[in-house]
Amino acid sequence: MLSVEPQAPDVELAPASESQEILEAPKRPFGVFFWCCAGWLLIVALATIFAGLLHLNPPQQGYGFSPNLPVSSAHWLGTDEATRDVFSRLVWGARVSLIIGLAGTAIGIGIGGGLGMLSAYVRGRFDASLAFVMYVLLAFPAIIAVICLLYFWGRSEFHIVVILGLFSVPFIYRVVRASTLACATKEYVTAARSQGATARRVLAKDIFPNVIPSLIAYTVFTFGGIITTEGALGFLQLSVPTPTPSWGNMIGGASGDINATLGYVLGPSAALFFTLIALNYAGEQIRLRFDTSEQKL
Amino acid sequence: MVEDAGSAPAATSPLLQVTDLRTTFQTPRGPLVAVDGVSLTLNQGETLGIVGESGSGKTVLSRSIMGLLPGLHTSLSGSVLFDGVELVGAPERLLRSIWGARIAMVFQDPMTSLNPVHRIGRQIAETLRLHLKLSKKVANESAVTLLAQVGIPSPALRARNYPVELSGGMRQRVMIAIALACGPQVLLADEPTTGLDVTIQAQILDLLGEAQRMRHMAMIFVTHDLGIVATRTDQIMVMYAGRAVEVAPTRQLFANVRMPYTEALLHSTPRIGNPSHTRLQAIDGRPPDLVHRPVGCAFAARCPYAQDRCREESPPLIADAAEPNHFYACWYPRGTPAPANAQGAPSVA
Repeated sequence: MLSVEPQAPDVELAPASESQEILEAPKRPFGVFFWCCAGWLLIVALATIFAGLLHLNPPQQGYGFSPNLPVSSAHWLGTDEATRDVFSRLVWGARVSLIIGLAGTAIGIGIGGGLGMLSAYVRGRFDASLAFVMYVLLAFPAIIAVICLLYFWGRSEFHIVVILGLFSVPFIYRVVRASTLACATKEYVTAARSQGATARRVLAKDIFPNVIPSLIAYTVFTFGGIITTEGALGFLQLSVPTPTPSWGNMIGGASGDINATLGYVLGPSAALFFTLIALNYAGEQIRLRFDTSEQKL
Repeated sequence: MVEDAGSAPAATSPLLQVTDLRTTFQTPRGPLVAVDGVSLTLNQGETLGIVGESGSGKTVLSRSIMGLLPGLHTSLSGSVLFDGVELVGAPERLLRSIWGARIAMVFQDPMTSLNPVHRIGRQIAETLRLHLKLSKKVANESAVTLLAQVGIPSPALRARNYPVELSGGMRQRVMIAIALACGPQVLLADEPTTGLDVTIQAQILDLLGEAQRMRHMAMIFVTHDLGIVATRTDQIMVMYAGRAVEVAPTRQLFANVRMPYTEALLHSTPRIGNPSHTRLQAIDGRPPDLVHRPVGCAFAARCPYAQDRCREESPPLIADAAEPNHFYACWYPRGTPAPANAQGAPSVA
C-alpha cells in the first residue's frame, strides 16, 4: 500500500517572512429555506403582537346559529362547532401558545442556564448533587408529571408556564453545563483569574459570552418543545380552559367534531406544524453557524 | 486582611520568600505531590529561571506561588511571603487584590489565554479598571499606550481587534501588555515563548527583559530550555519530580554543574559550536510517577552515575562547600574530584 519510492526531492523554499495570518473561518450561508422559516416566524410573531389591531372578529364570540361554516370572505377559515371564527381564534391562539412558549423558555433559560454555569464552575459536591437532581427530572416522563400537577393546581396560563418552564430546566442545564465545563478549563479563564477577576466577573464576562452560541440554539429548541407540549395539553383539554383559544385546544376541538370543516381541521394543525418546523430548522442553522467546535479558534 | 503590606520589614526582607511549598493533588490513584517542599527567594529586580522537563512541577510551582490553583482536590502547604504578606491560606479577596495588580502572570499558550469574544483593547482595559479604578475612557487610552509599549504597530487600530485576528507573537505581546498593565512587582512568565517561532521567541524575551529593567520588576521565568534562561536570569532553579535539585546563580551553575540531571539537560540542548547533524543526547527513561515516588533520589533510575545509596536514600538540598550560593541535591555530584562516600552530607533523610 505504501510504496516508498525514491523521488527527486521537491526543492521548495519555505516562505521567508511570517505572514500576518488572519484566521477567519468562512461563514456558513443561510439558505432560502432558512429565510422562509424566519419569514414565517416573523409573520406569526407580528400577528401575535398586533392581534388586537387587526380588526378580527372577536375570537370568543359565536356568529349566527349554524356551526361549522365553510371558508368564506366573512370567516377566512370558516367557523367551528360553537360558531366562532376559526381564523381569528387561530391568531389569538398563537398568542397563547407563543406567550406560554416564551415565558416557559425564559424560566428554563434563567434557571437552567444559571444553575448550569454555576454547577460547572463550582464543581465538587454542589455540581454532583445538582446534576443528580437534573438527571432524575430528565428521566421523569414530563407529560405525566405536567398532567398531574395541572390537575392539582388548576389549568391557568401561569401554572402552565411555570410547570413547562421547570421541566425544560434540565435540558438547558445539561447543555450550558457542558459548554461551561469546556470553557472553564481554557487558559483564558485562568488568565482572567490571575488578573484578579472575581468568580462572578469570570462567569459573566469570560464564560457567559462563550456559552451564548449553544444557548441560543437550545433556546429555540426549548421554545419549540414547550409549544409542542402546550399543544398536546390543549389537545387533551388540559391547557387554558376552552373559551380562550390555543392551537392545541383548537386541534383537539376539531378532532372531536365529525362535522368540522377543512379550514378548522387544517388551520391550527398547519400553523403549529409550520411553526415547529421553522423553529427547529432555524435553530439548527443558527447552531451550525455559531458552532465553533469545528472551526477551531 | 487589613495587614499593612509589610512597610516595616520590606526594607530588609526579600520581595518574595517561598518556604517549603508543597502542592498536593488528590487523584483517583492517590495523592500526587506535584511540588514537594520547594523554597526560593526573589529580590526586587531579580530574575529567577525555573528549568525542568514536562511534568517536573514547574508550572504548578509558579501557580502555587500565586495561589492560582483549582480549589478542588488541591491542597497547598508551606509559606509564600510576598512583601511581608502570607499568601498561602490567604482569603481569596486578598489574593484577588494582589493578582494582576502586584503579581502578574504571562501564560504558556497565547492562542488560548486571551478570551476569543472580547476585543483585545477591552481585555487590557478591564484589568486597569478593576485594580486602578480608572474610568472607561482613561483605561482605553492606557490600553493603547500599553499596546504601543509592547511593540504592537498602530496600537489604536489593533486595540479594536479580536484575538483571532492576531498572530501568536502579537497575542503574546498582548498578554504581556495585560500582565504589565498595573505595574506588578513580580511577573511570573510560564513558558511564555513555547508556542512561538524562534525569531519571535527572541523578540518576546527581549521585550520581557526590557520591561523588567524599566520597571525594576522581579521575574520568575519558567521554561524547559536552559538556553533561554542562560543569558537572561540571575539565578536558576532546576526542578525534577517536584523538587528543586540544583539552585545557583546563573553563572556558577553553568561554570560548575553539580547535579547529573542538570548536566543531562545541558547535553540535550543544541549548541551552536557543535558541527551540524550532531546527535543530541536524550535523557533515557521518563520522569517518575509522582503518586508512587521512588525511594531514594527520584532521578536515580535515569542517572548514569547512580549508585546504591542513590536508590536507597533521598539526597537533601545542600550548599556546595566552595560556593555557598550553590545548592544541589545529589550524593555523588559532578565535578567533585573524589566521588567517594564521605562527601559532606550532614543529614540523612
